[in-house]
Amino acid sequence: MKRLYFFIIGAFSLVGLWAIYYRLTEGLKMTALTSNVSWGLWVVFYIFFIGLSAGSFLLSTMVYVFNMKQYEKIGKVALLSAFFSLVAGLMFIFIDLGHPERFWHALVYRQPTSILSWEIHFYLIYMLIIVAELWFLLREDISRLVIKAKGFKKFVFKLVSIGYSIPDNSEKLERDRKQTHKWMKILGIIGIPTAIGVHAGTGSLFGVIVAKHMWNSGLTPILFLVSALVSGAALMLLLYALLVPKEKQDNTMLKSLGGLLILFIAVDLLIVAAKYLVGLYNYVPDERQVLLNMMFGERWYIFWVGQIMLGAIIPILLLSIKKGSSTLKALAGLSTILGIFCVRWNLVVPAYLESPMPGLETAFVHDRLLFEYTPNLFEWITSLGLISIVILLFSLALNSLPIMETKEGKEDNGETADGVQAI
Amino acid sequence: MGSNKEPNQGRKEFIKKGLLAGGGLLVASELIKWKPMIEAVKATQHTEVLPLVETVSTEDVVIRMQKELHEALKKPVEEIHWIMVIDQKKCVACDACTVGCSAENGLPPGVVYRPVIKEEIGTYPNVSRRFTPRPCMHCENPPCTQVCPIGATYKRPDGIVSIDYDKCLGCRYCLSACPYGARSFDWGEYHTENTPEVMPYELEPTFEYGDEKVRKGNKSPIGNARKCHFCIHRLQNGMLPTCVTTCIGRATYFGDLNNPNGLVASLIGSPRVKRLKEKLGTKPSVYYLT
Amino acid sequence: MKKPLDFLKCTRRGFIAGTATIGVSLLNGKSMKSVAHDLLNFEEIKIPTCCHMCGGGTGVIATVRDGVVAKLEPNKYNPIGVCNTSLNFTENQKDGAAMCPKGLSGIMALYDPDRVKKPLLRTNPEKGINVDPKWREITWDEAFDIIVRELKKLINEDRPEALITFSENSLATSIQRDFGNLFGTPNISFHTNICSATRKAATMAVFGVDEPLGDYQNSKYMLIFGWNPLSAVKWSHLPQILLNGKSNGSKLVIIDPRYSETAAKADLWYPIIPGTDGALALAMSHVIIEENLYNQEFIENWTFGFDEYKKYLKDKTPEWAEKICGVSAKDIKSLAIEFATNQPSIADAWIGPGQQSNGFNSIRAVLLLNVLVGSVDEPGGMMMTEEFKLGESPIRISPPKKKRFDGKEKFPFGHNSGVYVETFRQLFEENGPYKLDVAFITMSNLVLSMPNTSQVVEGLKKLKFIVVNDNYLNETSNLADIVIPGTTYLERFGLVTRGINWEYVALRQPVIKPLFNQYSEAEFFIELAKRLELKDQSGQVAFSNIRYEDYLDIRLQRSKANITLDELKEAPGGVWTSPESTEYRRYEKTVIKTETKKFQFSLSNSSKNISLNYILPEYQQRRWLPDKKYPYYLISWKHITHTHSRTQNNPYLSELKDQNYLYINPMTANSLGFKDGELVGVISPFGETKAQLRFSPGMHPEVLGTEWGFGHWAFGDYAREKGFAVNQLNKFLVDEVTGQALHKEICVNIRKI
Repeated sequence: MKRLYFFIIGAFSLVGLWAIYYRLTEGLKMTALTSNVSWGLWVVFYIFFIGLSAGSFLLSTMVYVFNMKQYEKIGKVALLSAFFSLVAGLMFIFIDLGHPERFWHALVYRQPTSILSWEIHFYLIYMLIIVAELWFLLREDISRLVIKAKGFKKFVFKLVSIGYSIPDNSEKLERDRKQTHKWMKILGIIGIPTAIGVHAGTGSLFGVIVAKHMWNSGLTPILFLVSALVSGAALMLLLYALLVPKEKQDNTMLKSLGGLLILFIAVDLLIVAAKYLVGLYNYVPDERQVLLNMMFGERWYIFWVGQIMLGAIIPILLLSIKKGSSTLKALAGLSTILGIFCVRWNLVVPAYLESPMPGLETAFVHDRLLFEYTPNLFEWITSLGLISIVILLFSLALNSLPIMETKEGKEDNGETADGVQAI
Repeated sequence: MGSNKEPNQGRKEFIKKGLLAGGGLLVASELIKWKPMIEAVKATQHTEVLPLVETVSTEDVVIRMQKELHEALKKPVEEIHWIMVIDQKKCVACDACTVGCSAENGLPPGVVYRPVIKEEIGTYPNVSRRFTPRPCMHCENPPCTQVCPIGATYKRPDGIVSIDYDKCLGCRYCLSACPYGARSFDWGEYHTENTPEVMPYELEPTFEYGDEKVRKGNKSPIGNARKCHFCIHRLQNGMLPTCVTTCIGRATYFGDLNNPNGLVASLIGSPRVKRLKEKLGTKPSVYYLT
Repeated sequence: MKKPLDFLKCTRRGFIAGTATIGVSLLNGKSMKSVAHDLLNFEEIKIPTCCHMCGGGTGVIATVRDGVVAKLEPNKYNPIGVCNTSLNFTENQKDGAAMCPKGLSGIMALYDPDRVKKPLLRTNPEKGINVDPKWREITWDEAFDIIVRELKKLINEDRPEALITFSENSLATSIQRDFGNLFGTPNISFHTNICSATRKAATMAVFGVDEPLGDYQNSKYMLIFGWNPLSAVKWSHLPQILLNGKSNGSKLVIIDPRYSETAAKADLWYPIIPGTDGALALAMSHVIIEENLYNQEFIENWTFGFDEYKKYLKDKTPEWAEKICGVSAKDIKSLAIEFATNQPSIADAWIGPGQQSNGFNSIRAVLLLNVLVGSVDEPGGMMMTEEFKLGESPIRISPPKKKRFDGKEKFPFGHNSGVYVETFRQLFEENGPYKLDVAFITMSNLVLSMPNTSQVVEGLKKLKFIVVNDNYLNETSNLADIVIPGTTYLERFGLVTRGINWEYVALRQPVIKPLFNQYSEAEFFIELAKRLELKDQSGQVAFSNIRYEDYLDIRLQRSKANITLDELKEAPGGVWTSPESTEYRRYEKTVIKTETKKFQFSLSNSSKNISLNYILPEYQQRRWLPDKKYPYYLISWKHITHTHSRTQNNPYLSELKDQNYLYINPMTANSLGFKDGELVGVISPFGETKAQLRFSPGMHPEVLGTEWGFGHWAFGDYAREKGFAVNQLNKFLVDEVTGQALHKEICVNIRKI
């Protein structure tokens, strides 16, 4: 089963690598983007994954900052998925640039008025925080794995452990663990505003754009943030319910996680309702027409089937079932994630489809100047391939590192660790 | 222009003087000499080039803009404020400015700096048409320069919003931020691709911003944001932007707003003046006379 | 940087050095880095020539860099881009010249990858619209051999008249005439009779000149019937002189079934039913005469037939006209009074009324408004333009005595370009005076530019041997037996003399060698004449040592300009302008070239076997009127972005407009249940096609219209299958006086598909 899984993911990842290579050599003309719809599928995935990352991270702070022990089981996976989602998000940005080889410009040159500029720096800090938290959390287990493992794996683990090794006596171990706790809390505390800054920031980079009325609102950053929490919680639900063997699952935690998800979805719906109803009330074409096209136009299903059904109604129903099995919960998580993808799409693309000046759409005739966008096959393949690569790395990490179970009891020096398999 | 009241002889003198005066005027221009013309005149008329006659008007539009351009170029760059004025009453929607600009800057498919919006208004028989050429507005508060993460697009002291092609990442944030849709992205395509091969004129260098660039492979300006830049490379050589010189309705004016005696400053004192999307507070440098 | 740039030659070094210097000095301090360049080592020269993206011939300066044409700019030494009288030249010239978008896209016509590069021979004997000719590339010599062989057949059978030529009318016209004379065929024809033959005929009938041009810049009232000079820009000075006129206080009034781009600048627009302009003009004349606003002195001294005209007009009241044309009687009256009292005024009409069956009289009625108020050859009035005449051709041969195939002599005011419609009708019906075997078609896409497409194709198929000389494999060349690669204007010589009220001659010269080493169109005919050893009247082989450049040189030297071709090359901008300025009131000095030697309200009763209803410009209804089955008028027009059917493959121009729409008044469309953008079937009694509707509130409710020239099914990738062609919908209708093809006389209906 596992082999098959890795085989499939590996195959998709190879396709992904090819697609990225092709993209880097042929350029952005391989996409269906136009100068008027300049952000498309890849930017949607970018904000989706950044949101997923921020959401997961904020969930992890429930454990490490607010000491909500009932969620301890998902603490590590939350951090790990935060890390890989961030990587995915950044990779999508990388391939979306006109000059990917110049990505380092963003770190060398900066512009204080540009939210994107701030964001990029935030991403770095955020990534360092996650990596640091993960290291602190896992260093003990990794150092045990260093002892156990052989060959290439040993090398990798040694690299990841950055030389930390299990101390000889239990006092030192205790001290290290306390240090871990302390640092987790500190990093968590710094991490909260950072994560909020990361994702509400990504939201505000849309929110400040005066040119797109539909984006230009104070609610946009909040909406991004809440959607992030929704997707983070959904991902946790999905991963836990899917990956931890049924016998070992903590049903109470699942239930309360489910309840949390419903809460987040409700808040998300509230904000969406506020934004859209107000927007539909007036007759400003830039806002009303965009919303009408989004909800009742050609792609109505993205809103109704995606955002509402998959993203809200189905998960709430599934999670409300009293004796619901964890599979149902996993499905709820999956449905929410797909729904949030549709939310992200509707946050980005519909705003481009109305011309900023009446008559501009007929002033010039060219495919690259249309106010229409449907991602082409190449964009989909690249996206799925890239996601596969990230999932592959994530799976490898899950497979090798003790993520899904927490440690109980003391360990003695020299005793080999319980190399708990994640799957 | 009036009726021919002068006797034949006087009129011939006038024409001769007029022609010579015209020649003298262009001699005065720094860059172009009428060497062959003067020599032809010398050869047949045995006379010398006379100075500009007072009665011959020098206030005609493009020569005036040309002169004022040269005056402005002598000033330090932060004291200039370039603006463009487009008289919608004179624009005939011929699209010569669109194509002239595309030709001057070697624009590939998918990039247009100055399209002309053509609207039909009203209900028969009370109808009219409105034509709006739309270059980059070169706003005083540009939403596009605010959002560039690396400052690759910036506003020069003389008011022109520029793009540094070698810095620009191609993230296209600025494209999304422009309320006028004035920015395009260079997707790296050619008009004559696969026909079977790209024609030589598409691989000719272009000189935007005074830099020579050839669009090949992945090199800038491929993969960059691009937009109207008031033909900086022509301004640097004392020439007006292409759209101004090729406008067959003579509807486009260009000059330094900081010159209170200049043509453009006087034009925007008209009650017909307006700018696009004023409510957004971008303060464009392109004015329209409706 | 201060190095002066010689106008005709300019090296790039100075430019780049200058750029770097000024660039650095301008951009002191700011973060923008200015890159100082190594001095670049390429040669850049600027060569003046004349455009030919349309027949206008605006001056162009081509920048050629290392053998590649890199840029085209307006040439301000060529008056066409500047103004149309000499008085305005120096003043307007300071504005620099202008160039329309077609001219600016010329490089793409030159380097179009779809161009024909080598002569092609047909190997599939079957001919048809969608039949593949199965071309085989042959050498120029082979092509000439085959053509000479076919032509020799005609000579041997003593039937040189079986050769007919069709051609664009500003390309090697005199060479083709000389060739025809030498070969012995009278059937040399050109494009004018499918274009503006009626206007020329009307102006000849009234003024005795074939292309009078209004002095709009100095006028005070411009009344234009069915012409759209701000978009159908024939000469790029037109928008300037009209708009300058407006700035000088002139009024602009447009009479047109459609609210055109010129109407958008007009003070008043009157929608009118197509084909009724004559009635409106006559009613205006009635008012002018009744209100005694006409120029008595001018009419008494310089006109013929005023009394008959006055009598005819007695009952042509505004109320009479209102019922016919739809413009209210009150408006007609005020138009007439305004026109007459705001002097100088101009009334003008071109092919809007001209391409309909009553065009001859309609345009005469319009032009006579100028005569009524004496606004003839006055500043601000209708100028009696005399095109500069080149000297005699060096080829001495008299025209053959055989009759023309097209029966042009049956048309009292037929144009010497022939009658294409009659040619094709007779070809199709096989009832011409003799048989035609061979056709040369030069820069002319007859299949798309003639009315009645299917019968034109059938007619062409009946010819034995067709040679097409063109740049593309288009709809017509697909029916040819041999295709000869043509040249673009950037690759050939020519002289342009037309379009302004001032004598000038401008040089068209190659700015690079022809890309595929083709002969230019003129040189092709010269070469044929040489190989056929055609002899002139002294028995010498004509053209034996005259190249086309020599031909032009001789004609230049024999003209008033008295310069050589080389001197013209060296002249500033490649243009010679007359030292004499525009003359006014020429009629006071030279005899008016009409039959009666006066400006004619009426033709003389003895004039050339013309039927009575044409003696005076009587109003008659056009022949094809809407009926229950086909209730809408279909008109077509030119737009500035394209020239006829020959520019649709140009990328820059396709980006401005890549297809044509069927424009319809929204009220009409809604009452029929059609939506904006809907694809509909357009039907007429003679054919059917599909078109995409576009709502346009400026269309008269009974009129549908579209741009001309689209609907290609061959040609090139940009042009193919975009839009639709109106000439699938009409039949061989011809003006019985002028021989003009009547493109605008079509009635249609639309239906859902």
